[in-house]
Amino acid sequence: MSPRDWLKLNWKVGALSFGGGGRAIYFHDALVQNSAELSDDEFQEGNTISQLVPGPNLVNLSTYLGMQLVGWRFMLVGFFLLCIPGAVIGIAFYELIDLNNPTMMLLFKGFSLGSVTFFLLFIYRLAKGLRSDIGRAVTASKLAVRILLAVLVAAASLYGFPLFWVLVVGIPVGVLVEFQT
Amino acid sequence: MIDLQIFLVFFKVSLMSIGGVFGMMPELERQIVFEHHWMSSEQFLQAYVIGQFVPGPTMAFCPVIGYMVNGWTGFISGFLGIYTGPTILVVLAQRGYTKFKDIQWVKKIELSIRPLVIGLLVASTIRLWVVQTYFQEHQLLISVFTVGLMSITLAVYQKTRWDILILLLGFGIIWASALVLFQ
Repeated sequence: MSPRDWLKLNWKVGALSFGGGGRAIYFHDALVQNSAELSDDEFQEGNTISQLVPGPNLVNLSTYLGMQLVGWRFMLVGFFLLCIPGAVIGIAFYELIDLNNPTMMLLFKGFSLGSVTFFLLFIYRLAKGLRSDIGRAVTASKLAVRILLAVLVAAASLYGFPLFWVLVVGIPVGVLVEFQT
Repeated sequence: MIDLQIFLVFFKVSLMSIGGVFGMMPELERQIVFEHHWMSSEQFLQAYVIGQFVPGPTMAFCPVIGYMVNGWTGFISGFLGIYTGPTILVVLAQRGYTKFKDIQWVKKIELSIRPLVIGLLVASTIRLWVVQTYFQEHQLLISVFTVGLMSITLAVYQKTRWDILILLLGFGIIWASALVLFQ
């Protein structure tokens, strides 16, 4: 990917992707679905590490992929293009928009639910990756265990278990499953 | 001095925020509202709502909080505080992982964590859905309409491959217009 395309992508996500959540799909679309910049597996590596490192997942993902694709200088410029517009627009909202206006809130909710739509699509794409192992297809039993693990983690998180403990318990279980099967 | 405090609060919280914005909210609110008394719970919530709607990372509300507390210097402190630590950590993680990922057990560990990541994303999506579809009246009808519009949007996307951004904007406008008409 050319540095210019990388910066355009970050600008697009940073300045135009209203709605909250699920914005990683813009990166997946641009780098995996609509081009061959990265394989799905390479993207998932970046996504996994971005989720595990503390901080904003979207920024983490952009940082990881930027380092891989265009080097630290353009990664850094991309970082600012991704992070500054939303923060400045946030201040404009704070100063200029009446957040108690019901019509405005409905519009914002609409954008958020639009994001949920593509969040689901993104998760579906990631979930398809559970079918593969290193260099081969995964067995049916192992796939079932992986799905079960994902469901349990989602349930524990929704139930309100602290994320730290979900990961402290979940990661060893996941590793055990992977190495035992 | 207050700018340094803003920086340190966000810096510390950013390093505790595994799993995204939901993981760090209680601690951030505790620090900003109850410990430093920089704003009320209502103002904090207002900043959070702004962060949910602006483009880019949802943590864009952190520089906004900095701005609400101390103007543009607070904005810069909040911005640097929330993003500096994780960015450095990701760069280190990327370098480390790229160096060792060809070792089979390293790759296996990464694969073993993927289901957990998917589980966390599913939980985030459900939370977002619950928050945004909560209405005091006509809950069921609104939910059914929303699911229908989501299905149509996905079908259009699969068929046309239009830019997600366009579909997202279209979704928001149609959904909000329908609810205004409905109400």
